[in-house]
Amino acid sequence: MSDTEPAATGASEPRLDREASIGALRELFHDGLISRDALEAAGARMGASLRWRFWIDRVLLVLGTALVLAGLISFLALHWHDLGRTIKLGGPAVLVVAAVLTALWVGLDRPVGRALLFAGSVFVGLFLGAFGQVYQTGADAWELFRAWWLLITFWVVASRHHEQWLLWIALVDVMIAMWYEQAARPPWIYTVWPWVVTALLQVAALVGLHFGNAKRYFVIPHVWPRWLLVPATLFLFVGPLSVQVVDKGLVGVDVWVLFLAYIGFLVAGFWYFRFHARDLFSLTCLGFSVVWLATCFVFRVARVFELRDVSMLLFVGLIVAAMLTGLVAWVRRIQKQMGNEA
Amino acid sequence: MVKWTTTDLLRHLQADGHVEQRDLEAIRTYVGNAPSQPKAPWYLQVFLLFGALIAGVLCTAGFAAIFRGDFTDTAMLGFGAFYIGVAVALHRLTDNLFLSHLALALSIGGHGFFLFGVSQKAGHDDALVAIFVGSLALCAALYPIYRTTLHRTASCVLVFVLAKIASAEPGMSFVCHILVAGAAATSAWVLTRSRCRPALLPLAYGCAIGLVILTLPISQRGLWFDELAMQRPWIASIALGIALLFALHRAAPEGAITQTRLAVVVGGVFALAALTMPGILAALFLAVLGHATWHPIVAWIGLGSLPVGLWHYFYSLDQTYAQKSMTLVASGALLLAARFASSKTGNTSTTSPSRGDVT
Repeated sequence: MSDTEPAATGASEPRLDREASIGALRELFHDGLISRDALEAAGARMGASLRWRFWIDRVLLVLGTALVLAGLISFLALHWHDLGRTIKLGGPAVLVVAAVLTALWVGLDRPVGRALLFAGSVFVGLFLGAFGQVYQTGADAWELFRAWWLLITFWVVASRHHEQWLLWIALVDVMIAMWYEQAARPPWIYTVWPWVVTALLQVAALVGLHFGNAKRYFVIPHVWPRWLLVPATLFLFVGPLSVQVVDKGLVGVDVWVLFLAYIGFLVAGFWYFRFHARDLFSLTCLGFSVVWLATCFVFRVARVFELRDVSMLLFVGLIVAAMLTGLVAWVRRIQKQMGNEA
Repeated sequence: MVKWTTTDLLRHLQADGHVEQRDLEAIRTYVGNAPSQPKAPWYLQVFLLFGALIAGVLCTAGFAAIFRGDFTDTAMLGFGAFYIGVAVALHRLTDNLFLSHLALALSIGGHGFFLFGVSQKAGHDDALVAIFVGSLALCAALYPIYRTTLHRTASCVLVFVLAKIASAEPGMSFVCHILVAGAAATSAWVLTRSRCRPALLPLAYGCAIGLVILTLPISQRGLWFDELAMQRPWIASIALGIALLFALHRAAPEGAITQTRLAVVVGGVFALAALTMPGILAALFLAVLGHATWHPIVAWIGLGSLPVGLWHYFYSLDQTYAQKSMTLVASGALLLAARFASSKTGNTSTTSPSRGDVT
């Protein structure tokens, strides 16, 4: 063994004898153990360079598209009363067709093509809004979102890109929320059933994301949509459950279904994120949701037993600190296990 | 691509003269002495801070209830200082995880008591400025002794939040400009060092978040806050324009700076500064600095705050709505044209970076 080589035995062996990653080297740099020159040289050797052009390209594309879309939508909205019926309907329709055809011409495997197709999806909503205004269809807003969702379904499926699917799911979520507000009747109203449906939709989206990536349905498999979907799913489960737990306790079939679905998601999620996807962020979110709900439960207990003022506040504060300790210890243990398994 | 172990890679770097023998020994000692536990990820720290905030507020409210609010301002100051002292003692004297989390919660509660006491002592008119000065003093006092990244970063961020809240007070506008320039200079100084000093990184992160907070466009128009928009924003714009030029210079590869490029970049930064929208400049500065110095968290703070700065720019344009919408389209088209021109002058990969690529 060379005298410059770190010890091949002892505690340092596993970490230094693992395959080098730019993340591990960056950590050494942040700890002040290697210089910036060394990090950059290591990056060059590993083919990990600072890809300025790539990021400038993406920032310009996303910002440029967002600004053009915002400008066009504002322009149509502002000049609504001055525009003739042909322009009101024809303008958005032309934009839809132009965006989709140009996207197909450019190619959906290119960022520009994807941005154009996304713009096409947005213009469909613009067209439907215009249609509702011109003909005064009397439709509720949720029906507009339903039509929007249905109309873009074909090219969302055909596009095979994550951002299109996320827009599609967001439209369904908004549709359900608006339907609940505008058109829900008993037995749906004053229940958490819409939350159950929306949460299960996100769960289905997560399952779809897994198979879409695994079966190469998505053109470029990415896991980042999971980091949006997991917190959103947990919010949909834990939000109404928190209110119920603090306010009334678990009363009613709908609340119990939501609770059991949440428990099911926790169990399945733990198995999937721990042993299959090895996703520490999602595991941390799962753990924090449990801490949050448990805090609500402690508040409920304190209220039931009429613990007030000093005793209740101090009691809950200490319980929260203890639960946080449990969460951190649990996450750190899993992090370590995952590191050893790598 | 060749697969290296960290050991192999370090040995090659040493052969090339990028790593010295003492570096290798330091790494070996550090890895050998450090627990085999990797560092806690940033999101766990965020959850931890959020939870500690809840626990701290509850414990503080509980203690306040014991005394039924019968605190004099001096008693509050003393109680807050005692609370923080207990937190520091717990942090320094024990490795127990529960006690260290309790210490964080107590420190948050102690800050609350102390700053409330400061505001009571200062009186109604000077309360906001006094709280800001108090938080600055606490940050300066605790930074060297409460040695966790989370506490240090949160303590720095608190200073900027309170400065922003106090910015409408007489004289604080000027202080905010000094803070902007100081935060930009500090983050640039810490992050561009050839060798990181871990103790200073939380300061740089706190300053980066603080820059975003200070330049946030909070105004009375349509929001719930009091008027907190920055007064005389051109001062901060000049400071941040200089900072952005420095970051771009630092980021430029060797030999890439030509007369023409220099003129274009300086002109562009000057034009941005002329908009007197310090939020946009701060976002770009952080994005460039973080990316160039291998600190992706800072780069993402910048990129994340850029849309806010842009929104504020278009929102506050002195134009009719029709003109604004056309300005939006024209600006977007300009950016897309710049992207098109950029793609024609070099090879732009259309795929995502590989796993090895940075940020």
